[in-house]
Amino acid sequence: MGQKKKALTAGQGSFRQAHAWLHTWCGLWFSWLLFAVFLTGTLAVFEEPITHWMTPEHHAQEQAAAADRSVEPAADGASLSQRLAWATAYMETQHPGAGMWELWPADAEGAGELRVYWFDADGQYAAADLDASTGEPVIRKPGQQARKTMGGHHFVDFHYELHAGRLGLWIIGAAAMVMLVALVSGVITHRRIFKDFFTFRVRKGQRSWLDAHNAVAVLTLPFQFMIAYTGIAISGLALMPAGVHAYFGTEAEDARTFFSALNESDKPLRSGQSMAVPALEPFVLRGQALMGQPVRAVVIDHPGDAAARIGVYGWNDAVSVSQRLSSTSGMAMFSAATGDVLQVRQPGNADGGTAMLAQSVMAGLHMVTFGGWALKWVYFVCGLAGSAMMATGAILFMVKRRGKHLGEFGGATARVYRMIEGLNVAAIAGLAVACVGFLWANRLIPAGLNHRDDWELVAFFAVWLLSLLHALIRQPSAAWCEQLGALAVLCLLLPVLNLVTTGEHLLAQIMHADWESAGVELFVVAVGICALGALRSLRQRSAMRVPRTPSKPSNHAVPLPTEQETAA
Amino acid sequence: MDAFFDKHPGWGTASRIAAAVLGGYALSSAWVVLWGAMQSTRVEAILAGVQTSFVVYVVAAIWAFSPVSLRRVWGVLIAAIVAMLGSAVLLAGWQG
Repeated sequence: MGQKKKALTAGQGSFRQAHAWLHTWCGLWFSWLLFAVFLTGTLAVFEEPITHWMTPEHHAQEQAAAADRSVEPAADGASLSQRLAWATAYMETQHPGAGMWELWPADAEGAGELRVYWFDADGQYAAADLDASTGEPVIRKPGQQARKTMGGHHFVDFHYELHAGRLGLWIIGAAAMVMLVALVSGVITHRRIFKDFFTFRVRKGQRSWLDAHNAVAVLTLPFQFMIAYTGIAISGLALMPAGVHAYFGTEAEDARTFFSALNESDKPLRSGQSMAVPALEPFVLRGQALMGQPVRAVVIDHPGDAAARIGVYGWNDAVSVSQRLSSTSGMAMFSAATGDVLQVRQPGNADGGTAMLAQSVMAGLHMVTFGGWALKWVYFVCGLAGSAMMATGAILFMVKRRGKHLGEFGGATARVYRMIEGLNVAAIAGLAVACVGFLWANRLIPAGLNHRDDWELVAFFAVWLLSLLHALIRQPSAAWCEQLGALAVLCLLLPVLNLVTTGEHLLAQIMHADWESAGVELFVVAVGICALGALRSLRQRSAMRVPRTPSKPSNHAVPLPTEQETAA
Repeated sequence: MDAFFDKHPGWGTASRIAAAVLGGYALSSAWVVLWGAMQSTRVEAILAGVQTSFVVYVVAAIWAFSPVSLRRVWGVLIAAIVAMLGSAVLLAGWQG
């Protein structure tokens, strides 16, 4: 069988054999990257709690704000009409040349912050905060400022573009395609998919890894297809630009033409005649009545021009957010000059046709903008299962080959196996260490340091790189143990670090009902306990290990060094 | 051609990977161009083509790695690309 297997390569043997080959090699070469995308994407589900934990300076402010609100609801700040007047006055006097205004007058209850955004003369998006009770621009004092951090957004950014912009997006896009291909070929390979799912042979070495790989994959297969497909489709227009190039042209300007045709096909052109922005309150009140939502933002295209257009956008309430797949809010568009209604969009509908609605639904599905916390947890668990699918697949590849040289790489096979073992350790255990190391860096890097947010990223990548070097230098079994040990220590001591550096601790977080912070720390501690468990079972296996019997090389469910490795 | 790849399996694998990755990408790009020609609301049609193109890509890649001769893989891929682009040109020209 081994002989026959060795001879098979791409597109050979039966249909199932050919796809077993495809699944093995697609899976292996992309498993490390896909594991990283999946683990960080899973953490990205809880972007906000992580950001909250990473900006401890905000905790006291948020608690005070919450206390205020419970005592005197909607007492803060001026009326809606006053807020709109302040925002208009600020924009007219401070930024007269802006091509677009976007005023966020208040929260859904008519209270909260007053914020303005605009496109400045260079077409850049800019923002300012106005005091909600005086209308004066808010200048933040350095002392009040929270530490500069990417927070949970680090995981979001990393999981779809690796902090590498367009290049990263293409790498992730390719990885997502490979994942779809590996999922299909995996289904073809495992013909007895449901029987496999109900089979779990514990502590049987290679078979246990195979069963675990099959179980997590089959159980969450629909989720894995959905998340990979929606992920690639969200960036589809960037990854598959042929259509835009064929009909609109290949320049950056042509892409903009396409996007404005897609998103704002009826945007008027500047007339050249000047006309002051009219009082906004009547437009806002009519808009609220038309779409049935309180105002979230007022967008004015071409302010100061006679062709100006006023769009009133609504706040989605919590119920509709959790029930609607498409997360678009209501919108009413008016002509500033005549006051005519140009367009009304009901909440949840898309501006364009079916494809635009599908795009919005796919984004909602991928980013879990609906369903509330319960669904976020479902995504989190399914995401962890997906990560486990990649990890078990990568480990299975090596477990299968320990003590049984398949000679795929000719004379270099032993060296390549050794490299794969090292990459497994660094990609799985090392990435986990780097993620918790990112949280450590957040507390250890001085709050006032220049480019502090970049230093946190440097720490993340440095820890990861160190883990790779460590995994390539040390024997695989030792590397697994040491990196799992490091993970356990960093995870279990994170609450202690937080106590020492900020004075906050788990009990206090729970007493203040600060579930975001408490959730982050409890989860990290749980990971630490799991890492300890894995470490213990690894050590037990090594202790129990009898001198190697090459005829049954696959009876170790855990990574252990083999003759080849020690020889290599 | 196939006799050459039987002797040099490495080149056969490389050719298959190229067919799946590059051929599949070209095919799904042609698919998007064809969609763009099919409807009068062109931007929506292009977006719908992009959304569905990844199914085309996956199917093409899976098929390219199936036990089918390389000659056939490349032949069908190129024929399908030419057919899609040809139809797109005809449709777009016909609509003006």
